[in-house]
Amino acid sequence: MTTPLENLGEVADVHVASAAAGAARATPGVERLQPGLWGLVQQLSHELWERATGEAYPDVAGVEVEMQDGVALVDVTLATDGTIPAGQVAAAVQRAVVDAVAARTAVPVLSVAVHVCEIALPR
Amino acid sequence: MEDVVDDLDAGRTDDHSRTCEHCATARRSLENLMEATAALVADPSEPPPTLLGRIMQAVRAEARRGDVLALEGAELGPADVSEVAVAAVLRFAADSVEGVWARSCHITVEPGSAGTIAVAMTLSLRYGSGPAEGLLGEVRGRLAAALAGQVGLHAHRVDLTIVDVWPEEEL
Amino acid sequence: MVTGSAVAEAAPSDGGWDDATLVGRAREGDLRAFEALVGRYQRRIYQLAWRMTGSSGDAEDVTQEVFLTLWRRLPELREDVAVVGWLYKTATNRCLNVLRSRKPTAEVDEATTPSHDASDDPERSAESNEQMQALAAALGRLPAKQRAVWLLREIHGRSYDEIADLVDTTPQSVRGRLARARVQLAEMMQPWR
Repeated sequence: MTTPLENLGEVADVHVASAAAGAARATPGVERLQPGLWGLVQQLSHELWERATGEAYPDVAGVEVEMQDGVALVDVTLATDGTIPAGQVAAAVQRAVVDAVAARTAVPVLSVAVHVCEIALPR
Repeated sequence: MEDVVDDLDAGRTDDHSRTCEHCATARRSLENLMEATAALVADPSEPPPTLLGRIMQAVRAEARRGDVLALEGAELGPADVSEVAVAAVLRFAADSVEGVWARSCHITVEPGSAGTIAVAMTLSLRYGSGPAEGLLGEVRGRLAAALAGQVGLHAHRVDLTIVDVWPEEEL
Repeated sequence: MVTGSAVAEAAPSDGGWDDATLVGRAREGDLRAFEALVGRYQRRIYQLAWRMTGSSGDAEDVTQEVFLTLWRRLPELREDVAVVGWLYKTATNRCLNVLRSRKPTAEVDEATTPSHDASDDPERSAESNEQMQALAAALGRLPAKQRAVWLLREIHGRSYDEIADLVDTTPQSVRGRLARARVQLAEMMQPWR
């Protein structure tokens, strides 16, 4: 079996998404990432990814990456834990994602959109 | 036997049902059923503890995204928060005032004033919790604090409407 | 016989909001309010589904589907609709569908008969009360609709009018079905049978 050539681009997407997801999850005030229904990254089947790279498919749920002319547009959907204003969390996630993608891939990030879908309330 | 059911329901006995062996047997088996029914009402079987979480996971996965409110301060791309999430924070803040329950909460955005919203909330009050004036002032304070501390937005207008007053014992 | 003894609920740890408030909030998308509704009623729905289907797996599926359907239907649910009645109705219909869709076996009447004697079910073996075991087994042999009527009335304390609406019949016919169910259950539970 050969990997379709057009999917090779998506391997880079997965690396970007993986770096972004890890950075977002580690940002103070983030409770969890919230998977959406659609995303370019999810279109690459996990099996295809593992065959192409020999690595386990990373947890990128909640992150979508769109490549435009060699630069990445990243979308992160998350829930905050309610301890820090959502606006501050969003700004911190943007900085962390840009730094992490720069450190782990050669893909420049054009923009990081952050959607806060839920703010956790004290139990 | 259905007659015996009726008698048992009504707590009736007559000479026939006391002396007739068939009726006595029917009565015993119905009493047996009543005891077993009481045991079944006190059913010890509980849903698995993971069920609630699984239901909520399924609900979250298809939660309506709904409208979003732009967040200020993001520099590397757009940032927004779901209106529903902000409404939940505001209701919780109002609830934290003793004797107050938030009912509905609507948020609108002033065009061209990023980071500023208008809040319209309806409330239930418990009768005897104190003057409404004071309670509403307290609610306003909590809403402003929650918006600043948990969301990062500012309300230029907060409309509070009392739609219900509850007697103490019903809370 | 036993009346008004609805399944006991755990003490409300959900703030004690009335259903209308929770539904109103959930309708606006408040997940926490919806979670409180699930927490309040999942036990009743699960127990009804378990007694109806005789399978803890089916009962879990039915319960999950009922609440997911509630979430989806919230926008079209009328303001004054009693959510608990809606839940019972949806759950009863789901259970009857589950039973109908089971593969018919050789014995005709087993098509709607749950496997109430499943001894490998750990929850089932917790039923130490012998009478209760006999009743559970007898229940499994009742026709599905009769079982639903009996459970809704005797275990869940629902009104005749409501049950009539649930199983699409008249309150008079519910009384008749209930009386027949009681007699059949009492007869099936007799130890010498």
